Amino acid sequence: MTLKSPVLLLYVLLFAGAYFWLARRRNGAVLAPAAMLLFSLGVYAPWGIGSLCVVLAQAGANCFFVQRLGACPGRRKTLLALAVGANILLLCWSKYAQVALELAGITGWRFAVPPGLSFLTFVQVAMLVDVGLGRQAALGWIETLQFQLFFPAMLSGPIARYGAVAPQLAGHQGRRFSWENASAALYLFSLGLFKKVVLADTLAPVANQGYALTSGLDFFSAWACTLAYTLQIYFDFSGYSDMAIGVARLFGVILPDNFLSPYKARNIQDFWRRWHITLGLFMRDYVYIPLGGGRRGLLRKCLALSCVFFLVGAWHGVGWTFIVWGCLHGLVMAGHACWRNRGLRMPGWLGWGLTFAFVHAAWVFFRAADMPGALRMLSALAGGEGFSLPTGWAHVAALQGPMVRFAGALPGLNAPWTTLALIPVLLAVCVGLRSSVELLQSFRPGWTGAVATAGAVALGLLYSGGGPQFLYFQF
Amino acid sequence: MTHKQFCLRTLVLLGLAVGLMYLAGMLASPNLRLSDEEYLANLRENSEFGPATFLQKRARVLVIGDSHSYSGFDYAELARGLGTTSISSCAMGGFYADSLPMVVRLLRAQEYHPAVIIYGFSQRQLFDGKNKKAQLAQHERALAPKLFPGLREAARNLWTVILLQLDRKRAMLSWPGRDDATFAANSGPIAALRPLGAGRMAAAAKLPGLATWDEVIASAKISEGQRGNLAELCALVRETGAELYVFCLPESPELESRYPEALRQEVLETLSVLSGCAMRVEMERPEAYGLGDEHFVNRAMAFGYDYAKWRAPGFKPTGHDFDPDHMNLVGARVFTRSVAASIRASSKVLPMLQRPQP
Repeated sequence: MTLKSPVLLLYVLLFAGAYFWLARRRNGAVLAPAAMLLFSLGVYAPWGIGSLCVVLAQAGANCFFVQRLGACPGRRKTLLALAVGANILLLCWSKYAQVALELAGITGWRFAVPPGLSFLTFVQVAMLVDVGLGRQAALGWIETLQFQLFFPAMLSGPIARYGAVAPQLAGHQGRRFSWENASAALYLFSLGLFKKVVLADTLAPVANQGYALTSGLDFFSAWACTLAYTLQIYFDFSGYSDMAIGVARLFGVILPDNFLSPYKARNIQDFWRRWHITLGLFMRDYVYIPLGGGRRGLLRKCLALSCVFFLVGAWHGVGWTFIVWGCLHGLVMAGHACWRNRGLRMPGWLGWGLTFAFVHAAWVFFRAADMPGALRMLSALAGGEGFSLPTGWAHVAALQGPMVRFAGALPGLNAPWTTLALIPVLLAVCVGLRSSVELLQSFRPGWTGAVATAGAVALGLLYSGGGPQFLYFQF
Repeated sequence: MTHKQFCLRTLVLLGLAVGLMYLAGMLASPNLRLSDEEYLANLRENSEFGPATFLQKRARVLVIGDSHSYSGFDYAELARGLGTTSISSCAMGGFYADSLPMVVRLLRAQEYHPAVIIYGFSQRQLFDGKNKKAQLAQHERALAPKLFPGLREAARNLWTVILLQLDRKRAMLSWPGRDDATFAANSGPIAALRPLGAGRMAAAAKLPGLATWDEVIASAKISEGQRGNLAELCALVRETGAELYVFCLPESPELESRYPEALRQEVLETLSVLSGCAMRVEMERPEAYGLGDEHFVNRAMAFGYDYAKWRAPGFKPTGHDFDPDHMNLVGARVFTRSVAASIRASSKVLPMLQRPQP
C-alpha cells in the first residue's frame, strides 16, 4: 500500500485516532511508539513477508549496533565499520546480485528487492555514523526501531536524520494531538496528492510512449516527451515527499524538506540544493566531506564531486544510463566548482537556462531503457531525426526540406491536446510559483484553503484508481 | 478561521465532494455514452473496462477469459465477424478456472443471460500459481454482486466517463494498436518477419517472460476441483440455453513448444468437461490459425517499431520486443477472424441477432 491509496489514508486516519488515544493512557509512552511501530510494519507487510523480514532484520541489527555504539561513542570504530559495511553490502546485494548471477550464467534465481531498501539503508547508515562518532546519543530500542521504520518515510524518504527525527518520535510533544499540525498535514498532503495523481500521472503516458519508441521520433515529439518526463519526475517525487511530510506532521513529526522549486535553480549546485535535498545532504555529510570536500584544493574537490555523483548514479539503479547520468552531473558540478574558483559570473537568466537545459537533457539518460535509446532521444532533441509536420501542410513550399517529413504532428505520441497543453503550463508553474515548503510557511487557515484542500483530495481520490506507481519506488 | 475549524470544514467539504462523486459515479455508465467503435476498441488490452461495464452493457455475446482474451481478441473484428456489436467482455487479468463459478453466480444473480458465451481459455487457468490466492480474492471483490458500487468502482466509472467525455478520442488513442492505421502500418512489417528462425528465438530464450514460463510449465499441475469449476459454466449454459464456444487462446509457437505433450493431453482431458455443453471446444496449435512468433512481437504496437532489428545478427530481444503468450493486434485479428468464422458457421442464435456493422 502506498500513500496515494485511499484505503491506506482511511487506515492512517483511524490509526491517528487510536495513536493519540493510546498516548494519553498511563503507559502511553510505551504503548504509542509500539503501536506506531506495528502500524508501520502493517503498512509495509503487503509488499511481501520476505521483504518485511529483510527490512525488519536490518533495522533490528542496526538497533543492536546503535545500542553498542552508543554505549561508548567514538571508541568503537571497528564495530562502526562493520555495521556500515554490512548495510552497504546489503544494499549492493539488493541492487546487483541479480545482475551478477545473470552475468555468471546462473538462471532460475529471482531476488525480490525489498521496496525502499535504498532509502532505509541510507537512513540507517547515517544513524550509525552519527551515533558511532558521538554526534548523537543513542535512544532506546523502540524509539530507534520506530525511527528507522517510520511508515511515511519508509519507502521513498525523505532521508531523515536520527538526531532530528528520532527525538521527536521519542518525545512527549509528538504524542499530543494538535489541530495546527493536523491542518498543516491536511494542506501539505493534499498538495502532494494533487501533484502525484493529477499532474504526474497525467503526464506519464506522454513520457512512456515517447521513451518506448525505438524509432520514428522527431524533434517536436522528442521535446514533448522529454519535457513531460522532466515534469513528471518532479511532480511525482516531490508529490510523494509532500505526502510523506504531511502524514508525518499529523503525528507531530517534522520531516526534512526534500524539494525547493528545483527548476528555478540558476546553477547546478543550486539545483542540488533544491532537488532531493536529503539525498544531497546525505552525500555531502557522509561521502563528500570525508573525501576531503572543498578543504584540500580544487582538484581534490572536483574528484570528490565526481565520486559523489558516480555513487548517486549507481544508487539509483543498475545500468549504464544511471552511471552516465550521475557522472554527467558530477562533471558539471566539477566544472561549476572551477568556474566559481576563477570568480567568473554569468547573468541569472542565462544560468537558469543552461542549468535547466542540462538537467532536462540529463534526465534522458535517467529515463531511457538503454544507452542507444538515450542517444537516439538526444539526437531527436537536437533535430537529428528530422521534423514531422501535419500532412495537410505538405503543399507549403516554404516548409519543404531534407529533414522535414509530413507524417503528422507529434508522431508516436497519442496524447490528447489537453495533456500536451499542460506541459508549458506546468513549466511556468515550476518556474513561477512557490514551492510546497514556501506555501506551507505562508499557510493561514481560511475558506479558500479549505475548498482547495478538499478539492485536491477529492480529485486525488478520483484519479487514484489507476496511474503508475511512484517513480522512486524502483530505487 | 482557527486550525480546528479549517480541519473540520475541509473534512466536511471533502465528504460532500466524495458523496457527490459517489452519486455521480453510481449514475455514470461509460458504455452507454460511447460509440460502438470506441466501446469495442476499449475492450482490447484493457483489464478494467470490460469487467467494469459488462453488467451494464448486457450484450448478447459475452466473452469470459483472462489477459489472453483481452489481448488475443480484436473485438471490432469479432463484431464484424459475428455480425453484431452487442458484445461485452469479462476478461480479467490473471483469471483462473476457479473464478468461473464467481462469474456464473454473478450472471445468475443479475439475471443476465447472454445468448452466446465465448470462453477464452488458456492452459494456465487450470494450474496453481504463486499469486493465485490474491488474484482470486481480487476477482471475488470485483465480481461480488452489489446493490451499490463501492467508492472505488464509482470513482472508476466517473473517471472513465469524464475522460471519454472530455476527449472522446482518448479512448481510441490510449492504445496505439486500436487504430486501423496502426494495424495497417504494423501488419506489413510483421508479415515480412516470417519466419523469425530458430536461432533468433534461441537468443530470446533468456527473456524474463520465457524464463518465468519455463518455471510455470516445470511446476504445472492441474489444481483439484477444476473439472467442477468448468462444470459450473456448463450448468449455466444448460439452464439458460446459451451457446457456449470454448477457444484456447494460442500462445507463441516458441512457448507452445515448451509444454510437454502429456501436460497438454491432461489439459485437453480436463477441458473435455465442456464438450457436452459447448457448441465447440478448440485447442489448436498457433500454426493452425496462421500464427507465428512474429504475432507476439511488439505487443504494444509501438509506433515506428524497428522490426528490421530482428534480422540483425546478434540481436537479443528484450521483454519489450517479445511477449511469449500475448498476441499483438495483427495476431489478434488473424485469430479473431478465424474464431468468428467458426462461431458463425455453428451458431443458430447469431442470425437472429441484430446486425449493425461497427
